[in-house]
Amino acid sequence: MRLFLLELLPFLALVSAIFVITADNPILGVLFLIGVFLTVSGYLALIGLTFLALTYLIIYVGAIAILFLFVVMMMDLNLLDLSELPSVSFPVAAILASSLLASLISLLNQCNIPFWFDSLNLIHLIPSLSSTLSWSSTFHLIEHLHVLGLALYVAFPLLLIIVGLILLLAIIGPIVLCL
Amino acid sequence: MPPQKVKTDYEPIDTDPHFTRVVRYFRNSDYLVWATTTAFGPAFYYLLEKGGRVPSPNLGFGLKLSACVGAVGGFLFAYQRSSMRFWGWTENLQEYDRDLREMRQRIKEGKPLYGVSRMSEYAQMSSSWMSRYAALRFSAFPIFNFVNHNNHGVDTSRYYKDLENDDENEEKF
Amino acid sequence: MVILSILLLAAALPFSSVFYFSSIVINRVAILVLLLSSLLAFNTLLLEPLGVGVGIYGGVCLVSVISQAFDCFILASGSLLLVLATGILPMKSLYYWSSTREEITHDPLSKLIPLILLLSTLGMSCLVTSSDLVTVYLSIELQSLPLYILACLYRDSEPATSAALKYFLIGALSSCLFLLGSSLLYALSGLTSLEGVYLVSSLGVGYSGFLIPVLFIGLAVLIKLPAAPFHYWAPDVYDGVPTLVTSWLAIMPKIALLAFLLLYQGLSQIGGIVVTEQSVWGFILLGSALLSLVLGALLGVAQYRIKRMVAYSTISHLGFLLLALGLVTPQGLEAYLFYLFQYVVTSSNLFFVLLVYSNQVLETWGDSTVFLEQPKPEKDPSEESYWLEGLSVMRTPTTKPLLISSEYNRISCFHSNPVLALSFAICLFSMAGIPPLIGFFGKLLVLTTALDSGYYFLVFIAILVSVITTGFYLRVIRVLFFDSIHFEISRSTEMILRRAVLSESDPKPLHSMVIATLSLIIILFLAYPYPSLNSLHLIALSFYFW
Repeated sequence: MRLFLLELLPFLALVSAIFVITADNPILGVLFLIGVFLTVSGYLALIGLTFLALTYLIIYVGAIAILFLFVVMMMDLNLLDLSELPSVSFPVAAILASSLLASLISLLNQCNIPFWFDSLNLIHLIPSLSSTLSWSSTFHLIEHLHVLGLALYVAFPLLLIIVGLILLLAIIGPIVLCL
Repeated sequence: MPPQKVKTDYEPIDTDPHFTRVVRYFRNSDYLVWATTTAFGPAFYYLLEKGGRVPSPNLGFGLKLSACVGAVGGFLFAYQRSSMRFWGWTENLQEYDRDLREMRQRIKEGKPLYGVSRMSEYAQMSSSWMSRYAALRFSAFPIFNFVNHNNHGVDTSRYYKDLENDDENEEKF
Repeated sequence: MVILSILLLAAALPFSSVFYFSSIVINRVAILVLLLSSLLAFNTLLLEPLGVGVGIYGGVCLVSVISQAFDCFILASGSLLLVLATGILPMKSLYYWSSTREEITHDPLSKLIPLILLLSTLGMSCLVTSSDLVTVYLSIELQSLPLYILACLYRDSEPATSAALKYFLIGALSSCLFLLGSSLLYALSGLTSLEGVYLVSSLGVGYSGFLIPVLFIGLAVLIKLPAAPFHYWAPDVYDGVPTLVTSWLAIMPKIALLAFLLLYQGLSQIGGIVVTEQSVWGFILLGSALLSLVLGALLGVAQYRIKRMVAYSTISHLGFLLLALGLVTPQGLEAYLFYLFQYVVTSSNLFFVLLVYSNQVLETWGDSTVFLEQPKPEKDPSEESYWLEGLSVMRTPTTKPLLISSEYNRISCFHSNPVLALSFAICLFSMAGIPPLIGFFGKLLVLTTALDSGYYFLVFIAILVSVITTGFYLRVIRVLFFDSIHFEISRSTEMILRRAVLSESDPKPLHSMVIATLSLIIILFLAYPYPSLNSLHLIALSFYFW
């Protein structure tokens, strides 16, 4: 089931991304963007980066996509017609996309991914270190979120206190600004 | 990771004393400092009041608020002074003898030296990271030690010298 | 203490409708809080074990003699500068429409200002003891964000909001650069602790990869200071924001950031060029000092607005400070600390005087025929003629009261308030470096230690720059003492400054006391310099010999 989802979610993300750029209605585009964020967030959660997944949900979907929606709703955007897309920009887009793809493929080629590929282990994406045994997850697997919790609350609580003070300022500040 | 060894003028009693211990070991001068600072608050406010031409409308509320602030500040002042005695940074002969007596009494009664805690060893150690020498930064954050932990950074063997029942030297570093 | 008081005040503020207290209460309590916190820091100052430095809070903070000294100094200066806010009525705009004094002092905005300044001071206090990259960044943010908010106090005035926006954007840019540098540093060393990075970098032989992140971090701090050649935001910002905020901006963040730069010296010296073993950061620091000195002087001469002139003179003083910082000797450190101390004293005095003058903007003196009176209450406030009662001085949107040097000659005449003008003159002479005032000794210390270290060219430039800055200080004094009063009276239907009916003709006694005390410190330092000099000497020695 997990492996199936690991294959399905990136595919859905790609499909949603294509629909973002080819959607007629800008609001539909933003909704598919939310779909992209959701699928990528699920994928990140499945490979063990739980904190990043939750961050994607809160920040990307909760703040940025909402911002996009508000802007799109408030502005009077003309609906795009696909057939009217200028073909002048196609070569430039093709060059950019192929260069990015080439750099991604070349990076992946440098990784030695052994046949017992453990999809949870991101260390295989670092070219020079991928030949080492994944010792960190052999004994005790600590979730990403758990590690962050330990760091924030046990190892460095003062940083949490200072961040809390900044949040207090973020609450008081708009009162001062808008009063 | 053992706590940092700091060169002190006087013999350290405890680098991370518990809150109740520090408050119990307040000297009379500490209480005097607390009372003085509490009185300083409203006095300073009254001085500032005198510095204005027009009498401000809520003098009573201001005096009460500054008395609260003075009380808090005075307590932090007294706590800081008592803590520095525990660390061995200021003169602490009285506290040293009293601590020796109390700890030996505790050993005779069979109680653990620094109390029992429901937290795990690691949690006790990590709480001591946060609260050790925290009284130095009282100007910004008031962080006290409410945990009974065993890493106080001192050699506890002095409690066991000349005692009838000699346990293994619990050199907790 | 500061965090407890923030929480206490934040809890007390909602009860303002129940207890009905005014903003002056919060202000005075905030002054008391900062004074007590300063005493708490002073209590831990000169203790033997602090010489090496004690790591607390799990290693993110490092307490040493110099950090406690800076902490005490920052909290004390904060307490002094908060006196500026006593009785000052912060307005939403320059044009305030309330009709009674009660309403103004119970304005919720003015109650929040001391709270915001307390948060900023807490950030500064954290910055001087921080020893971890994340702590430094969070402290810089906690220190700067309240100031961004406060800079936007005058919301209806276009120059003020543009200045505040500029300050926010440049500050955010410098924070981003800081993050870039610290992330690179983490990538290279795997540690965020500054001491850990120092250890790791000193182990490697000939690896100068640490150069770029170290420079980025230093660059970010230099932008915030502001040091030339990154100072372009400073004159516009200092000119546009309210004078209370300018005083805070010109003095407080500088102390904290300069303390961080001092503690950062150990890390930054490692960013050396392998072949020549010369520290690149030291080179940049001294280059920035040279540019600050020169640009501050030359550009300041061309100003006709007082706050812009003050901004450029600040940059010039910063040149001296960076020059002293670039000397890695105990004498250099003592010169640095002393220059910082006298800079704070003189700048506070300057801003107190400026604020007193700006409070007197609409009053007149002597035998002038313009005076202001409160409109008769039986008239309807919505009627235009209600506001025409009494005379008012016309203010166009582009001119702000008392920010133009030429306007000082209307009221700030020596004859109207001689002692105030005299203390202003003393303050300006001290900033120029005229003996026997305290500013001279600051410059003397810096220049002699620079000469001892062999920076002859920089000392030569600094002396030339001092002469040039004396020029523009003297221009202000000429305007103050020798130009005569002339007034323009006109009526306006658009804007009438209601504040006019509420300001007094003389400065508040508390402000006068502070100005007098600071002026006396400036003059009488020569008579008994030992307390400050000896303590600074001890602190400087503790930094080097433990």
